[in-house]
Amino acid sequence: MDIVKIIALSFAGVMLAAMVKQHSAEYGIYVALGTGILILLYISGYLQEAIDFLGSMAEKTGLGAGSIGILLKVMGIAYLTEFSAQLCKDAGYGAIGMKVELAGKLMILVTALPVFQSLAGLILSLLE
Amino acid sequence: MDVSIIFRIAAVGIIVAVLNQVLSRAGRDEQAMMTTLAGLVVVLFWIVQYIGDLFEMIQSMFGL
Repeated sequence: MDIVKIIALSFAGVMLAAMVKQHSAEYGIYVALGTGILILLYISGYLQEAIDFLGSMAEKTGLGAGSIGILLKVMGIAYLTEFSAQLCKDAGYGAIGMKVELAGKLMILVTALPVFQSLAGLILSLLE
Repeated sequence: MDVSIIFRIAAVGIIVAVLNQVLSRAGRDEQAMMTTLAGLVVVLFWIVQYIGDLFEMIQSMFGL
């Protein structure tokens, strides 16, 4: 049922942004930004639910308890990078959006390095 | 988390655009620029609060 509210919100945002864009371009971007933030705040409840479930599954099974933290960090970085990169592209500044995406990918790689390390260690120990 | 923020931003946008037209027609271009800046600051003030909430929520949720 909530998805209907979100769709209504996004339509309102799109219509308002299009209308305001004619008069002054930057307010169209502000309206788009405001709508995006509202939708993200709105779904944060569901996100929290999913993360709690993920955490409890990890604790119960004990599998990858360490990597759950990294997984969440990577999801958070991807989430924020996607949000801001798309917004930059919407505003017409593709180059800046690409730079943000590049930075996001790099941060994700750096955050995930320990996992690669443990994987490599595991493989080496198997080979010996 | 009220939905009215979008409508407030759009309203400020429209008002500033109209004021801009009126003032520039009346020959006072400096005031026109001033009203644009004022509108900008007001909207930015609201938006920054919301951005702060969003980023804080995401950081606390994902443990960033």
